[in-house]
Amino acid sequence: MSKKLMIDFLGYTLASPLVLPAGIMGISSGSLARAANCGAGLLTTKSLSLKPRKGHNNPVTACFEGGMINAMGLCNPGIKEGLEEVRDFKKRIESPVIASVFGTSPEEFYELASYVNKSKADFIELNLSCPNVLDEFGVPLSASKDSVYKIVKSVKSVSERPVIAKLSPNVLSIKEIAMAAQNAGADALSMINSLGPGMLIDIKLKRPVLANKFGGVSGPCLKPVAQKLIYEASSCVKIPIIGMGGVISGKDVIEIKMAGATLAGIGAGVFYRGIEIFKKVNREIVKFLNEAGYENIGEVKRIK
Amino acid sequence: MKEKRFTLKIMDVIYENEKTITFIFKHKIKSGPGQFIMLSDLENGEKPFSISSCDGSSFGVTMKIVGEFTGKLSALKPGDMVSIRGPYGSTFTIPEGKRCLITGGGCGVPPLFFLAGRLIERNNTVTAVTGFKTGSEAMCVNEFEKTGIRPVIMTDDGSLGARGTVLDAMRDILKKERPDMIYAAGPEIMLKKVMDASDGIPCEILVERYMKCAIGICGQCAMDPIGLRVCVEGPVLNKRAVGLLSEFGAYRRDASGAKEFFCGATH
Ligand SMILES: Cc1cc2nc3c(=O)[nH]c(=O)nc-3n(C[C@H](O)[C@H](O)[C@H](O)COP(=O)(O)OP(=O)(O)OC[C@H]3O[C@@H](n4cnc5c(N)ncnc54)[C@H](O)[C@@H]3O)c2cc1C
Ligand SMILES: Cc1cc2nc3c(=O)[nH]c(=O)nc-3n(C[C@H](O)[C@H](O)[C@H](O)COP(=O)(O)O)c2cc1C
Ligand code: FES
Repeated sequence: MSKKLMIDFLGYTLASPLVLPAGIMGISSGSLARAANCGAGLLTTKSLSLKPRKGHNNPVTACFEGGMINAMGLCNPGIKEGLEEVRDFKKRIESPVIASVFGTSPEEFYELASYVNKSKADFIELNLSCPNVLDEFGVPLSASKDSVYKIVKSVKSVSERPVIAKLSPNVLSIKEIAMAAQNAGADALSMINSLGPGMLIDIKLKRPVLANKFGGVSGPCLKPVAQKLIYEASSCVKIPIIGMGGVISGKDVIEIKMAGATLAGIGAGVFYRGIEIFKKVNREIVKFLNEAGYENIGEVKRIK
Repeated sequence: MKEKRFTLKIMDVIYENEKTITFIFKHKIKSGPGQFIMLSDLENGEKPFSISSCDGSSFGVTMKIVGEFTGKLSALKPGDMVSIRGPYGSTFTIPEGKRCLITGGGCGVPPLFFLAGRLIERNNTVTAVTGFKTGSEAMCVNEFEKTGIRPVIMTDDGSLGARGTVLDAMRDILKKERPDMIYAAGPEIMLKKVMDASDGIPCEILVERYMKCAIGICGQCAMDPIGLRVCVEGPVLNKRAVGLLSEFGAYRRDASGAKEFFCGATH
């Protein structure tokens, strides 16, 4: 890979600014290896919980003109087996790995972080987009600055790994949430998780397409929303941001970096351009850097 | 890439045997043998099924009624509508003028029937071996005969054809003739044995893994250690690809992604 793609992130030097986000491909060590070999510089596991979860019933994905909706239902084999996959991956490949975890309370997140401490994962990412079991309306943890603060604080008190808070776009004030995460000690932000959720209907069968009816929206239609939220968050926090939401080309990576992100995740893009998308986008970035006269990707900065 | 999704009326339902049905759809799709569709009634689930026939104007899928979802599907009648995505995945190679041996067990047989038709169109000579637990579970026998192929039928209990396994029949055939190409679909333990017995002859098999998205994004069907996605790079795999998969014949993953190890042999 070109030296121009190398970039520093929380003390690591990554071979590429491209990130495999949580829930994309990353169920097994083989999948992580595949994404690494295809050119992703940083890999995220599927979000792991204390207990295994089968997830929602099929159909779990459906596409529309602007993107796709998914209701995987946070299926995962549980944190123990999930971290064994990271161990198997690390036996063969050195790329850094983020363990994505999710729980429903600060205590659960604390316990998950203790597992990650004992694992080969390099970072821990907190998927905050789950319903808050303590909230009578099931408002997601990510929508309340107090919940976000408490969870990040709780994880920081135990974690021996840098902590990344993954934020949801479905909030009134992203600045407030981003500040809460930073004030609680988060080392980085990852944003955005899928939008909505949304819904698609089969007009002949007159039924929702997804078994769960609703599913989070990802893909190209997310790009303007992601960029606006990253631009706002980066105006008030100093910690680096892994930007994602509709990135499918080298130009999109430059754009999301100009919005304020340090790294760029590619999720739905794996469907649009195949798993080789990481290779293709790396190439497109280098082409852009050469044409626009940048020495390396690190020189592409947030616009004013 | 665009999603290929259709809502289609079932044109015909064929009852192959007590536990196997075929849905025929009047809709033109471009598909090769080995590919599959995701079929859903948008009420009880969505599961992968191999295409068992496909011509200029219609296609079919043949399913064994094994559990909850296929149980619900078995109540559908001509005129009912279902949602279909696909076709997805890789196809069997169709050579020209070669000697081909087809080996299938249980619900691996229907896609091989589609394959047999395409092989014959290209002047290949086809020998087919099909295996079932018992005679009442046999399928596609008449269909094969219509294409001029007389399948060798094997049953575990000897109630139809000869008693024994697909492997027994295959070993006998290999003693007498050497095909240019071997194809197999069925339980994974059988596929592994076919591969092992294929003795340097090129071989393609149809692998099954639990599927969710079927568009290569969720990772559910990925096989270790290279992350080969059965829904995109499979389900048809050749010997070289299988040789890279330590997971093949050893384990698969359930809906949560946890490993389930294969135990013992069937067929
Ligand atoms: C590529 C491919 C092609 C297939 N082609 C055919 C075919 O042509 N005819 C046929 O009868 N069957 C076929 N199957 C198997 C078929 O998908 C299952 O029999 C069906 O899903 C069973 O559903 P159920 O709810 O009735 O049974 P369940 O009781 O839910 O499951 C029975 C078994 O089916 C398998 N299964 C269940 N859900 C899935 C899923 N989402 N993806 C993959 N496997 C699953 C599991 O091994 C499970 O143990 C194919 C599977 C794959 C992966
Ligand atoms: C199939 C699928 C599964 C996902 N699973 C998770 C998950 O387990 N945890 C998580 O934090 N985000 C998950 N996401 C969200 C993505 O990580 C990402 O934030 C989002 O899709 C936006 O990026 P994109 O437009 O590039 O896909 C999932 C997205 C998709 C499409
Ligand atoms: S079923 Fe999702 S990647 Fe194959």
